Amino acid sequence: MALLEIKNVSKFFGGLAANSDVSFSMDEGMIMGLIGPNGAGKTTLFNCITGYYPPSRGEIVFAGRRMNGLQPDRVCKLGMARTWQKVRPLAKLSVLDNVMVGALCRTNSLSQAQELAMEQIRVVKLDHKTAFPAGGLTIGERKKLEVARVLATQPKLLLLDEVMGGLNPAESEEIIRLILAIKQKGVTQMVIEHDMKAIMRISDRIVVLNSGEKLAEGTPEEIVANPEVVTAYLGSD
Amino acid sequence: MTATVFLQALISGILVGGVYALIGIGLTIIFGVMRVINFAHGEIMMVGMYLTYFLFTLFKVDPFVSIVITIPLMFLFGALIQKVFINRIIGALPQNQILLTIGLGLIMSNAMMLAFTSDYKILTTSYSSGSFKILTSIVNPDRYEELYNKGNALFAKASKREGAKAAQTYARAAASYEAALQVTPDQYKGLNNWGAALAREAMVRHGGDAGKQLDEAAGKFEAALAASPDEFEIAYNEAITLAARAEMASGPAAGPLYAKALGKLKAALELRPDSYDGLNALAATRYRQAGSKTGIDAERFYAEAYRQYLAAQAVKPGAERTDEEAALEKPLPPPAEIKSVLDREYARFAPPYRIKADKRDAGLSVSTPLAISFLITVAITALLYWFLMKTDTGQAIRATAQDREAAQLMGINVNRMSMLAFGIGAALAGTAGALISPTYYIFPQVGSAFTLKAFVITVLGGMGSIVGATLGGIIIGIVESVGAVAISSDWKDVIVFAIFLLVLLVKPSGLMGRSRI
Amino acid sequence: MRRPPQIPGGESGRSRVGLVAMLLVLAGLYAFPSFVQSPYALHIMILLFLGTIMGESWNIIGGYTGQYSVGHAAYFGAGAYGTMILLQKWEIAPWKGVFAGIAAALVLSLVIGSICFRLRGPYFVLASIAVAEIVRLTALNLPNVTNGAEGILMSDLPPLSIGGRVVTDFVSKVPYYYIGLTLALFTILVTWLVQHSKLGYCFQAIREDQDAAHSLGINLSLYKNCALGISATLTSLAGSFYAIYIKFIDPTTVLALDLSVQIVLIAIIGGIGTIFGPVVGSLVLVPLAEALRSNIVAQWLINSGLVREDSGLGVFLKENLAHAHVLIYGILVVVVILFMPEGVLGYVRKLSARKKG
Repeated sequence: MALLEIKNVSKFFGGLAANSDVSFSMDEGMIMGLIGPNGAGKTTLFNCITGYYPPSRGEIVFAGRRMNGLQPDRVCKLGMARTWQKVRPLAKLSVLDNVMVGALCRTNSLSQAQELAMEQIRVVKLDHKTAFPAGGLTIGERKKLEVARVLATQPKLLLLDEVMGGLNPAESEEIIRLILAIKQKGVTQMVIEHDMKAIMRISDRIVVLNSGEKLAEGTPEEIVANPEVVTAYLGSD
Repeated sequence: MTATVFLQALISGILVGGVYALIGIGLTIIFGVMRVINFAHGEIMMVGMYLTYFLFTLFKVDPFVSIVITIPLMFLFGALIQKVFINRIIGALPQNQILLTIGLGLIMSNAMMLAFTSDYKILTTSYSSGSFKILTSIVNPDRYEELYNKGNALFAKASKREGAKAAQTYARAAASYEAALQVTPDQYKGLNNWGAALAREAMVRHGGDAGKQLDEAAGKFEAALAASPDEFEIAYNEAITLAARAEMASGPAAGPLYAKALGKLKAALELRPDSYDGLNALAATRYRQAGSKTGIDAERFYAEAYRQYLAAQAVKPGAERTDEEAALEKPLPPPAEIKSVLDREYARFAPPYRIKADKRDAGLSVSTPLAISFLITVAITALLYWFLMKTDTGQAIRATAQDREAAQLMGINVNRMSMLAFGIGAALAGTAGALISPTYYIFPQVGSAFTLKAFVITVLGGMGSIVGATLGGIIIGIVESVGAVAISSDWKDVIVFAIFLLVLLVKPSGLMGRSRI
Repeated sequence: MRRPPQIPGGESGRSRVGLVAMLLVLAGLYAFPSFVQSPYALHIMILLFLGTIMGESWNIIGGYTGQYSVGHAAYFGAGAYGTMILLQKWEIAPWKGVFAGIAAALVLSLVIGSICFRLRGPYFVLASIAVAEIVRLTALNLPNVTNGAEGILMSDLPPLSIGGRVVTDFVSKVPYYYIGLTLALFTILVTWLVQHSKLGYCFQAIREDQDAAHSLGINLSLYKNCALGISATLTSLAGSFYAIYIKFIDPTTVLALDLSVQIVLIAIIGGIGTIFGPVVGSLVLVPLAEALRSNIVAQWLINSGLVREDSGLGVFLKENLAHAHVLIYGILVVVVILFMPEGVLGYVRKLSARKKG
């Protein structure tokens, strides 16, 4: 059975359709790439899936449970966690405290939360900055912090929104390794990314969105060979 | 609430609403351009009020003319505040912006208090309490008002007559008031006059069930007080009715009635401590009470009545004002002399009833200063609209409000636009202060109430929308004024705040949506 | 929360010194009335405690959770009126009436929370003011319950007795001193407990970024209401204490917007989101206001020869400086926001950090 099923999801703002009739499903353990030109509705779809917007139409089913109308905190508790395109560190809190906030989603004990948090901080290799306030990190470190924080909520499904945006190649490479390592642990992931090379490398399957609609779906090889996708990216420009 | 009362409230609401709109527009322009909520807005208005007050008292400049001085001065004041304080916190946490402007407001109101004390100042012009009538051919007095006016006419006639004829006319007046109140119940003026008519009739007739009728009259006054508790005249009328009742009772029953009458009179005098009628009635009632006593008690009561007589003389209209305290401190004359003075004054004295004789004519009354200020408001708003829509600077301000960064990229000096916007906002608030100063008390703490009002207005209309603020101002003016007559003036602010919360919850973007300078 | 307690760092030596210092201060505070009998000194101390209680309580919702309520007078008034009405109308002793005050404040906080927490930033601030104004006007317009604008004067405070033994008869200021001190310590303890628990983490996450906190599994309305509930409870305690100490309350003293602003200022000036910020704020504001109010400053200026007593300025200062304490609040808040947005405590820390490094 699929872990996540998106069934005919549409989202309208006023009369404008940000997503229309998008459907696909994800199996456990896979990495799904979500690509599309700017304004294709990728982040809107993330927001619908994680409870920030109720979808105008359609259904989102996660682990056999209908998710429509659930608040983001419930969604997180049920095992779905997301990062933000524009990183949102809790600026005045230390790196450790940031990650502990994530861990406290699963436990009420501070010492347990701290253990969980330290574990994830080591995973993203931020352990030298534990006591550092998050507001003072570099952009690369912030992206890592963001990942550590959502990992600490122990998700079954992780939604990563452009975690490589604004990073240099070395940092991007680190993130790619991190994503693959997370996959090794059996966490399913949906990744929005603009870097085509990276997305082709990590994804098991890819969904292409264009003007809110699903344009294509398939393995990276199929997507590269799809003439419609090529037009959407290069076409009218 | 009759249709006339409603229309009357509607008119004054719209007129006051115009000034509110001016305050709201100022706040909304500041918010639109800088995203700063100015919590010192009411205090800036207060500064404008003081400016107007001093221009008037020191240089005899009419408040409505003085806005040609107030506007540029307040503009500079606002621009200065922006340059020195607000400019440093653009883009800071909204909480910090709010606290900074709260601090500035505290500084303004308390500096003003240090300079000019917290006394209420009143700016009285020749037209301050003037009014005129409009729509005289359309709005007729309704049935209640006709009967009420008829009652008043009969009452006036009766007081010129004597004996049985007077009693008959008072009875007819009472019947007319009764009929009026059947049309529209709970009108305090009608109730008061009805009570007076009943009481006068009983007193003239004197006999039969006169005592019972006085009780009935006292009941009417009670009801009138329940409808409008702060009316000196009504409390006074009830007190003298009770005194008359006591006199009629005589014997042991009189004691508590006198005490009750005196208590009422003192309560009434708290509402208006220097009322000659009130003090005189107090003296007369004490004198009567003394008459029902004997021995040392009587002497003590006469002495007290005499003191109250002196107090009444001190405030007697037309008489030269004597120093009340000095007169009271003088040793009292011997008892016999006291008695003779009091006998001369009060033996045949009956305190006059105070009826509410204002005649309700056709038409709606419009306050002259409010009407003038409304016209000025309309002119200023139109001018501002023209400035923002048609001039280059105005368009630059609007561009800054729409998108600060984009405006900067397009070469607009956003800092200058912010300073201009704050200056304009302050000038509008100051103008509003000038416009209401002929009809409002001026004191250092007057601002905070208007700051709150300004928020309600701008949120109602939509933060950043000038049309919204204009509409919001007029709506709040109407809600206050109609709410005051429909429910009670005590609760009108509660109604306004409740509407505010409702708008925040249901449509936080306000009537006109957001950011549309 | 700069350093969670579970991490034993190299600072244990310093923290031990801190602990000893804190215990010494505590012992000094409890012994204070045996050395100082001056009622005026005790009065100032009691005002300091009151300021601390108010500041700490606001700090929980404003400083830790980032929800700037400028309507805390509503809870203060709920405590004051709850206690006072029960005492005057039904002769219920204040130590029981306090709980009525707390209940009233809690109910009020739930109502206010359910209305205002849907709003963010400046809209939340405006809504909190509006609700508090509605509460004030309601108290003003219900004279049967609250005695309206006249206010309530406490006639007699029954002596406190436990098990038939009279503990205190409330004649001197000493019992108030101890009640105030204990309440202030209690609010500091509550703040410490909040900071060192899951609550503290959730509150601060909400303060830093509501959406991020939401996505990390934090139920926003639950935790915001929780913070407001704790804050309202403690504020109502301050109100009850004020009522029995001053023995007179009316809407313009215990429900006014001015009071709400003052409560915020104590926390802001000291430094928000820290345990001792409000203590510092209270230490700055209360003596300053008191010195101005009692004309110490004017007298000092005259005695020092800077201003002649019979000169126009001297007369003016003597007559008016007493009213200037609110002006000073205004200047202080402007200075703090512009030059030390982390408050006095944060500023001092920054300075000392700069010295060291």
